[in-house]
Amino acid sequence: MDHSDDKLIQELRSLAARADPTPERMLRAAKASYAWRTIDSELAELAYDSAGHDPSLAGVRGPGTTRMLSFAAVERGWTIELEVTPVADSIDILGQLIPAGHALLEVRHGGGVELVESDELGRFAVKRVQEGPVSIRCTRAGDDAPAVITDWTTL
Amino acid sequence: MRQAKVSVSRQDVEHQQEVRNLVAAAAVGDEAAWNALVDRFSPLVYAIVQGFRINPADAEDVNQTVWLRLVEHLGRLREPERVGAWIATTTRNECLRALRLARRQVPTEDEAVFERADPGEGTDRRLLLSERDAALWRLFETLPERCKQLLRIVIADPAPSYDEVASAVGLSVGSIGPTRARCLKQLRRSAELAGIDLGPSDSE
Repeated sequence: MDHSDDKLIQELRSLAARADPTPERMLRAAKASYAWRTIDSELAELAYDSAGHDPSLAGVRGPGTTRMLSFAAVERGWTIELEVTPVADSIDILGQLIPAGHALLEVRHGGGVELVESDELGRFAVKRVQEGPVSIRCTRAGDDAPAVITDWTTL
Repeated sequence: MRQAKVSVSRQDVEHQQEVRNLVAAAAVGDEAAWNALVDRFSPLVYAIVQGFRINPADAEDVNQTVWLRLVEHLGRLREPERVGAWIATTTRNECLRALRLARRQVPTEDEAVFERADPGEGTDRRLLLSERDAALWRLFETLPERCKQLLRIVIADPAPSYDEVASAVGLSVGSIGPTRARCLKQLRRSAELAGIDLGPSDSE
């Protein structure tokens, strides 16, 4: 590596820190995220997202377009599917638990937590959720196993 | 031309050990360790977001999503010493997703959407720069997208590792060095045309 290149990088690093520093509010938000830590839960990782960046998955996007996501808790064998529709400045979520059954769902988002229950077919609906990061914590009725939580995802 | 650095220096080993310890501590409830991770890697996240030219509202969502997701992955990372690369990859993927959805670029009259945007913080700051620094930063911003994106990440403070830079831009570790050199050469050329002195280059 050129010594002069290293010097230039150092100069640019110092300049960027002054011209375009990391906003305080982003640091604050990042630190505050820790309050959402859950203990003893199983993660359902994002397995499919119709808005994923894989070009083969690309379709027509835009407001009013429904987005499909699927989260898999592999060890538990659960799948949580979401259908997300933007409505004005918020989103409506239709969910499906697989295997089907009654469950309590905590929809965690920037505006707080909303509690909903799924019906015996595993379906649930949440209306007018604030846009932004969302994670769903799911516990089954009469089940002592740890809760399943979906990966935080921007909806 | 310089070969990509494959060997790991003592400094890298210490850095990795430190990061691994922070992840392990944060995974079991040590909030100070979490805050240290945030302080260390937020500039990397911000540099990636800026490189993608994400609008401020989406940038905040990307930032928040990356850190919230990390909270739940702390105890599950396969290579905790590479948490920086994990953060870089996650940020990149979230930026690409935000660009694809580009939901907030649709005109809206809803005040709440704009309320979250950065109120011209950057513009004010630039007034504090010397004329020469301001000119250099403007020049930096006119670099071709790929160069600007790569260099913006390279110059994050603290300096990201090549592994982290590679994860952030979706290139191999080996191609970072040569690309970086090419982009700096381009910056030097533009600076010369603009009459900004960047000091001597070794290759001249």
